[in-house]
Formats: sequence, structure tokens, C-alpha cells
Amino acid sequence: MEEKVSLLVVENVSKSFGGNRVLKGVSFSLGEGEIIGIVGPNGSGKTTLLNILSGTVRQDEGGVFFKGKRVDHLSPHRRAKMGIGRTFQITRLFTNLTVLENVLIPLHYGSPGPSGKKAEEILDMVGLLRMKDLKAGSLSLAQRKRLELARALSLNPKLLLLDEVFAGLNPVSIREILDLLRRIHSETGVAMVLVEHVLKALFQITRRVIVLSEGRIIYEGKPEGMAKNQEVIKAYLGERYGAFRGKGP
Amino acid sequence: MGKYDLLVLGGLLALALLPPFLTDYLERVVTSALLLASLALAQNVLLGYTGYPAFGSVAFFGIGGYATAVLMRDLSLPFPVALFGGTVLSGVLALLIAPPVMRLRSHYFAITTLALQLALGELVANLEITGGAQGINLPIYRGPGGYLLFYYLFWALTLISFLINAYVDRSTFGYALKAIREDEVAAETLGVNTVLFKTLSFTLTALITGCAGGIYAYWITYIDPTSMFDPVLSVKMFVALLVGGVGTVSGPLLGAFLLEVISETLWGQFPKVHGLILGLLIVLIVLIIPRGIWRKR
Repeated sequence: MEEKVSLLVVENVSKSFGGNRVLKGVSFSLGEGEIIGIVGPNGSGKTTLLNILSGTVRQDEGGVFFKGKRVDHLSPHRRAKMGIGRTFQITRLFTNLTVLENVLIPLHYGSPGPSGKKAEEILDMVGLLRMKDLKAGSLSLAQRKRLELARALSLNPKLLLLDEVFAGLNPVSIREILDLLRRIHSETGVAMVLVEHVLKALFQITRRVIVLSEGRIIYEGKPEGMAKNQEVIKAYLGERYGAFRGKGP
Repeated sequence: MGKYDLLVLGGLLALALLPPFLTDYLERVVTSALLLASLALAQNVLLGYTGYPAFGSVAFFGIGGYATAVLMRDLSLPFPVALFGGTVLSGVLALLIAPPVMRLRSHYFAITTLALQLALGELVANLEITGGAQGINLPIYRGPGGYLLFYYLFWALTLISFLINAYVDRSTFGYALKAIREDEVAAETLGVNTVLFKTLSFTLTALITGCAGGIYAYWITYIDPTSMFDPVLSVKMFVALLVGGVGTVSGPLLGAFLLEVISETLWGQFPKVHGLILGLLIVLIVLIIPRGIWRKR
């Protein structure tokens, strides 16, 4: 029987900043096209983990494997070219460039093949085509999040790392981004890692969650199992939530 | 290149026809303006498009000037060959120091390049091959055209620098530099090899600046550490860039000419206080049009 190779394998990753150990032996894997949510209280190491996966931060110990190859020694631009795209918790757009130029840059440098028409196709997909000539700095928060997604999609990624993509959005925008992510997933089959606090939205798109607390994994499994896990209730959901857990997250 | 940039390019090309109508004094003023324009345009690639302020890029002006002078004096090389050597040496030096220096950002980078300029100035002042503090005398150019040669050399260098800026402004190479300027971390995660492009940008700036230094050395026929590693030249270059418009194709060129014209006029009219008036004017211009005259149009 042929063994299925995981798209992403994170093996015993640890990271310290000075004396603060923010990740302690984190391990998990992700299959092709799979969507996983990473949740946890502030300071639990979620964004650091995402930074290690994208290469903007190097781990102290452990390894990161992508498509069967070790990538933790590679710079972020090389990982981008391999098909790892990401967005940021606080959007990092090229604000003085146009919406179209923001998408053209990864198309020129991160992904093989022609770029002009592709850029417009991607902008159309995220609903920003009519704004292509506007400066990215003039966009609303929801539009900025869409543009970050478009930029990451320009890399023709196999894996999308999304850092709090729903944060700061109103319910309507959350619904729209959620629909967009579903559409992206169904059309491209891209795997996603979502670091998220908006659990209600997260649980509508993923069937597997990892809970981090103080740099280590305290829960991995289905979202509904989270609410029954005492360690998760204590560290993340809170004792009050535990008392009302029958109502679901 | 926009239509206004094309107009400026037309004006720059027309400068080639100007010398027969210029007095010796005006010819020197325009030559100085062209020198400043080439330096400002060189700096624009690094600061305007890549977002790295090299306060001490005049170090490459000194390297280019000294290398040209030493090659002419010690190896008796003809000026064009020595100038080529000086330019290449500036570029190679930039290529070597860029990877560590360009890990720094913002004011840390600016101060490091300034330190490089001062350190190289001290080094040159203490080396025998560079003539120490006494400097180097170069032969006076007595070929066809006389000093007009330097007018045309600086004109050609400014034209090349202008075209490089125009290319950077619209090319995929320029997109990579702009991405670095806007957000280096984001650029890297979107596939831009930031170390490579920062190194190329730094080297390009050093090549133009070094070439300007080589031409300048032969123009004034005598160089010493004070004149070739002069911090005032850095300041003038940045002022020209700010007045003209950072990150624009034509702004640095216009800023350099405006600064040179105002400076010369004030020097002629108010010889004792021209520096004070010039300083006040620069402050006023920066306050009124902080993004430069070219962005204000």
C-alpha cells in the first residue's frame, strides 16, 4: 500500500526569545488540502509558530518539512517559491503601491509563469478587481485582508498560513472572508493553517484544531472535543465557559 | 516614464547643446549641477526606491576619485581606463560590504555608511599610496574641448543615471526594490530575494557615485581626503533629493539644479550670509512641500 506523504510536518519545534521559551517541542503534520486551526491564549506561541513555518523566524530546535523536504534552513523567499504563502495578523501591504502592483510583485518573483492576466484573475477572485488602480493604503480593513489573501494566492501556494484573518472584521465581513476561503479551497485545493481567535468562524471551515498554551500543544483533534477538554477550558476557554459548555463554542 | 519625465529628459538632452551659449562661469555652474544631479539620482535608487538612506555613500565618491587618480599617477593609465577601474572598484567594494551593512535598517544603516565614509577618509589620509593628507595632484587635461570634456562627462553620467532611474521606476527589478522599501518582511515572504536586490541597489548607487568621483578628481586635478570624503557633499545630495522629490525619476535632477542655482545666486549676492539664507530657504521648501517639487506638480 502506498504511504501518503504529509504536505507539512512540524517536528519537535522549540523557540526561545531571550529567557522566554515561547515554543516547547511542538509537533504536528498536515495533509495536502487539509485545513487546520491553531488557537490559544495570547502569548501561547501561535504567531511565532507561523513565523517559523514561513521562515521569518528560525526555530532553536526541531525541524520543518514541506513536501517531504526539510525547509527550516531556507529563507522566506525560497519557501514562498516552494508554495508557502502567508498573511499577517496586522496587514503588511505595500501601501504606496496600487492594488494590482501588490499582486504583481509575488507573481513576478514568487511564482513561475506569466503574470499580467493572472493578477487580474486573482483580484477578481477576491473581489478587488475594480479597485486594482487604487493605492493599497486607501483600502478598508476587510479589503486589506482580501488583498493579503490575493498576494498569497499569487504564489500559487500549496499551503496558506493565515494569521488572524478574521480579526477586527464585522460579522458581514467575516462571512464574506469565510465564503472566500471556502471558494479558494474548493477551486485550488490549497492546504491552510489558520491561527485564529474567532472560533465561531474557524469551526465553520476546519475539522481539526490544535490548542497551544504556554508554547506547547495541549489539545489536538475535532473542534467539538475542545470544549470537553479540562486543560483547554482552564487555559483558554475559561472556567465560566466550562460551566456553560453544553451550549457549544 | 510619464510625459512630464519625458519633458525633463528632453531638457536634459538639450543641455548637450547649451555650452556654446555659456560663459566659463556658467559652464562651471552647470557642470557642478550635473555632478550633484548624478549623485542625487544615484542615491535615489537606494533611498527613493529601496528605502535605505546611505548618508555616507560619498565614501564611494572618494574611492572612485582616489582609485582613478592612483591608476593614472602610478600606472600611467589613460583617464578613460583609470575611470573605468575606479568605477569598478567602487562597485566591487559595495558588493563586498553590502551583505553585512544592508542587514541594518533606517538610521542604523545611515550611521553605518557615514562611519564607513569617515573611516575611509581617515584611511586614505594615512596611506602612502594615496598621498596621505597632502593628497594627489593629477595632470591638467589639455586635450580637445578643454574643460568642456568634464561638462559632457557629467552630462553623460547624469543621463545614464536618469535612464537607470526611469528603468527602476517601471521595471520588475524596480518592483522588487519598491517592495523592500514598503515592507521588507512582506517582500521576502512573497518571493523577493531581499538580500540580492538590496545588494544590487547598493552596488548600482556605488557604481554611479564612484564614477562621479573619478570624473571629479580629474576635473579639479587635485584631490585630498577632505574634498573627496566631504560630509557636506552628502548633505547637498540629500537636500537635492528632498527638494526634488524622493522616489521620483525627475525630482532628484530638478532638485540638484534648483539647489545649485539658488546656492550660486545667493553666493554672488550675499557672500557673507549666503549659507544662512540657503539653510533657511531649504527649511522653508521642505516645510511647504515636504514631498518635493516633483510630487507637488
